[in-house]
Amino acid sequence: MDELKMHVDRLFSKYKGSSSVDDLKAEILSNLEAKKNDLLSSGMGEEAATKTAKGSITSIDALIDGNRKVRSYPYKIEKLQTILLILIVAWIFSTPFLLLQNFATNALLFLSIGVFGLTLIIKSRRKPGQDTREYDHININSLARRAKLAWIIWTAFMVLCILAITGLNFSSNFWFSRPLIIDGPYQLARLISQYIGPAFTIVIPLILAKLSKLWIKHEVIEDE
Amino acid sequence: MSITGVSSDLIRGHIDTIILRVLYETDNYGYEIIKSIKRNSNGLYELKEPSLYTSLKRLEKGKMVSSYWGDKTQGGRRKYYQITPQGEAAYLKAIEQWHLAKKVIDLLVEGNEDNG
Repeated sequence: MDELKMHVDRLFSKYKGSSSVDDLKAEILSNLEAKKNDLLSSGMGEEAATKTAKGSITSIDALIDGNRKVRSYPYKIEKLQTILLILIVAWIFSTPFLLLQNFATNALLFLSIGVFGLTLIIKSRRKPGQDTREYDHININSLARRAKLAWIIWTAFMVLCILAITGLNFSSNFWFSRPLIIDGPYQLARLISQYIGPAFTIVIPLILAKLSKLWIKHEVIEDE
Repeated sequence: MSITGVSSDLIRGHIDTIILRVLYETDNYGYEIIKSIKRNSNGLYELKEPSLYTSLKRLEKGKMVSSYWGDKTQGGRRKYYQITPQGEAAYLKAIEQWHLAKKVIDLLVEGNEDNG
């Protein structure tokens, strides 16, 4: 019995926690035990019966709620392309702010474009299926959850940033009666550009939201 | 698959009905459903475990069957499935549809007249 339990544990090693998963796991194990006992009583040896029972189910990925089967290689490539595209657009948008000496955002975006671009080049050079499985199972529920969480965190982050930046700029007026001097369009633009840097973090939730819908194009419909 | 077995392509669309038929007779659990199906087919068709779970999951989602945990046996707790009234109606309808399809497909592939 223990060998069957280990087999089922291995099948479910990626999935933990939810009660529906535990139910399925217990159900599959009890059915495999019933199968093994049945084979034993029909005269099969212990080892062969265990082996047959184990061989009857070798993957449960398709049975998990929200799981979708995708072709591993094109899915991964498009994931990288999507990230890259959003980063490049963000980078282009950030270039005008270089004039306002807002270098950090631009440099950071440029750096991440380099990293993801390089990864994409390396990945796309490998032939499909050379180093990975042909199919992957991804869970669209957890992808959607992740995107939603990213939006919530980003919103909270932006609220904090706006409060902090506004505080830093205007508090000298409140506490020391030294008003912030904006004596021209350049000063005003510099003031605004302080808010722009943090705002560019919007690429993170944007990317995650986009990635959470990518599977639609790559889904492989199971035959059985 | 052996030549004596049924083509899985031909049977695929009917797995839900085949399982509903087993449950129409009596409540049952996974492995025993597979055994009953093998028995019903005189050993010519054996449902694979992954197909069983996929189909049961689909049936339960569509409220065609419901499930409950049985008492503890020597092996462990078994999950039993029970056909719902909705499932019974769907089963009877599927039989009607099958009769019609059988007639039409016979005419189409063989041109038999004795199915009139």
